[in-house]
Amino acid sequence: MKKNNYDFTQPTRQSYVAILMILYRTFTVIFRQALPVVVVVLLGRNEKVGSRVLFIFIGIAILSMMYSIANFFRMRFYILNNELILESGVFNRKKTIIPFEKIQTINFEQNIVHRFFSVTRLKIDTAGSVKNEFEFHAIDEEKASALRDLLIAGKKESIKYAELKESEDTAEATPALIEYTPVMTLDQWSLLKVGITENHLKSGGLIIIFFLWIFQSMEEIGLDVDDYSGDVDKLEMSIAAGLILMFLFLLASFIISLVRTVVNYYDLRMMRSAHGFKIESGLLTRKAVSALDHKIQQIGWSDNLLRKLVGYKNLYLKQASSELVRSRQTAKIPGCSKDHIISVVQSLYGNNRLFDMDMKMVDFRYFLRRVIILSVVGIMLALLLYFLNFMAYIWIVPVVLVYLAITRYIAWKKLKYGFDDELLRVEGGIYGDKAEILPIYKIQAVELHSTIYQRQHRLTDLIVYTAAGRVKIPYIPLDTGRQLLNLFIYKTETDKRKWM
Amino acid sequence: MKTFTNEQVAVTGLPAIEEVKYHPLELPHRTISIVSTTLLFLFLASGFFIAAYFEPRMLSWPVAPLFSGLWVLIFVFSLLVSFKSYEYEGYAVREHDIIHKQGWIFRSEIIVPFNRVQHCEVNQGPLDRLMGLSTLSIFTAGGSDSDISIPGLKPETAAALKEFITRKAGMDEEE
Repeated sequence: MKKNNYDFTQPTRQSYVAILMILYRTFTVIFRQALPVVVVVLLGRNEKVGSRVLFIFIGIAILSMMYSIANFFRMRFYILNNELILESGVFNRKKTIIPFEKIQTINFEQNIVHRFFSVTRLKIDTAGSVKNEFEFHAIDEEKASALRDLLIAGKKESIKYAELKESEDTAEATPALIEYTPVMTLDQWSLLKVGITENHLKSGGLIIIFFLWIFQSMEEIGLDVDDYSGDVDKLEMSIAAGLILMFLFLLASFIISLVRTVVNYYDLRMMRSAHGFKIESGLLTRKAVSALDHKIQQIGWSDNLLRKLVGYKNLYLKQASSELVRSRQTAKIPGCSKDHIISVVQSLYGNNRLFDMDMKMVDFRYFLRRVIILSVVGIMLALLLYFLNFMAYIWIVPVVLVYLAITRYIAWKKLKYGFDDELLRVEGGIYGDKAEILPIYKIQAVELHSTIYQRQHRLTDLIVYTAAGRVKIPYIPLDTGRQLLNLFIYKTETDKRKWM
Repeated sequence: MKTFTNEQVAVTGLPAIEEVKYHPLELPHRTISIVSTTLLFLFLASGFFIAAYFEPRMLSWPVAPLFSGLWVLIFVFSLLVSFKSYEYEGYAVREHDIIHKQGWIFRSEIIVPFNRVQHCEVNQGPLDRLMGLSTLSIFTAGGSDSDISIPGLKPETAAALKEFITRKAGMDEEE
């Protein structure tokens, strides 16, 4: 209702808060570039050179900040004839025209400063070929949502128009206001559960990478790390010390992944409009991602062993970000229950039979072959250990082999695929479960791939590509593979629905 | 969208990929792949010699024989692969899609419907130019996994294919 309060036909600037954002951004960029130099200069003894370099950097910083501010005052936007027009450029005037129907996604983002001033960052992603994204650093919240509603309404009108041409259905010509109904929200307790059941090994990996990074930067700066590490060797690492270290490492991993989850997914809200989803979340920086139905190429969900116990899954909405920007965009929604997923599937595909689809297994040789290859590698490893006189560790090889063989067996047992007139579904997993669903008409390529071993047994891998990724069905009979390829391609070629 | 119909399709009556007749690539393409393999291995060998110049121990036993033995083995195998691969690479154009098959040890057939093509390009590398051949690249949306690149085409064939596919892809969009 508020949308009419703003007159977008008059050229407007962004909110003045944007200057703050721009300055901050310029500052961080320069700071990051200058940091290594500054550190080296400060550590070095030559003060004369040091101060000169510093002055140069400060000069560059001031100049680029002045340029950014000038840029802010020169940038204006307005709407004319269903086109968003941006004027920008400090020394030469540039005019960018975005027709509404070329707009792919409109995203909001708010950090603490934004929220303090009730403004929002607005990103507009288009299907243009030159520059694909337009970013307003700060626009008043209400103004931004009015602008978004206007853009989406205009866009919908042009989509509707295309549909009209298709179906010649004359009803419902006026676009309704965007109304959102909540699909799911994540309360504090659920958020905590999501954080606790996170894959903590991933954070552990991050810690290792972080220390490697520090180590490397110290080396780059010229600190001799070996000097310090020499002392460590002299320390006798008792088992107790090792265990404490291990415990600290696990604790740190746990805390980091918990904090990351809370920061990223605080107050997560997933909402449904008539033509898509909107997902909002974040503690310090609030992010809003919109995913329009026809842009979503495939969806998927996964969990791990812990998540399975609490009944939570991560849901992924995978879309191609725009037609020519050859990138992908995935919206991740953690903490979804099975009911949430069913409701998303319902609103996207209206398909009730998805969950009682007839699922087929792949050939047993999928397991057999992987075990054979693993055994060969294992035997080679064992021989290597033998020749290098590490006989004491040789028991690790069979233990790892047995573990891998069992998990490969589970992987084969759980890998299943099925399809109906509309959808293709592939599921699998080892400890957790994962699933990929895609509408067959969104397929953009199909591949049959085979190794010598597969050909000997008339087997093939079938790989299905969409604009948001690929799904592989390994080790199926060649004849089945060909039939599926023929069917999928036929469906894609005869389907006239808007697919992206 | 409401008028969209979707009758049951008899899986056996569909246009079948197994009946497709592939066009082979032009014969000079075999020379090109053999030459480029050779160049790659000469480059690797020169890298070894440059390293040996700074670190003479690399030329001593057992490093040198091990490296050269491995080099010869992989080089011969790669030559064989480039030679044989030619026989297994080809393309086919149907009314609504293009198919590219390739690979001798790992074989793949990939099919892209024209209504999912974003754009095409004709390229000519230095070796291509020497032998008077072109490469046709067909791009799909969102990343490069499902892009097709067909080498070893006569320039006029490549241009005609590009023209044909672009028209087909555009026609579908207008419907």
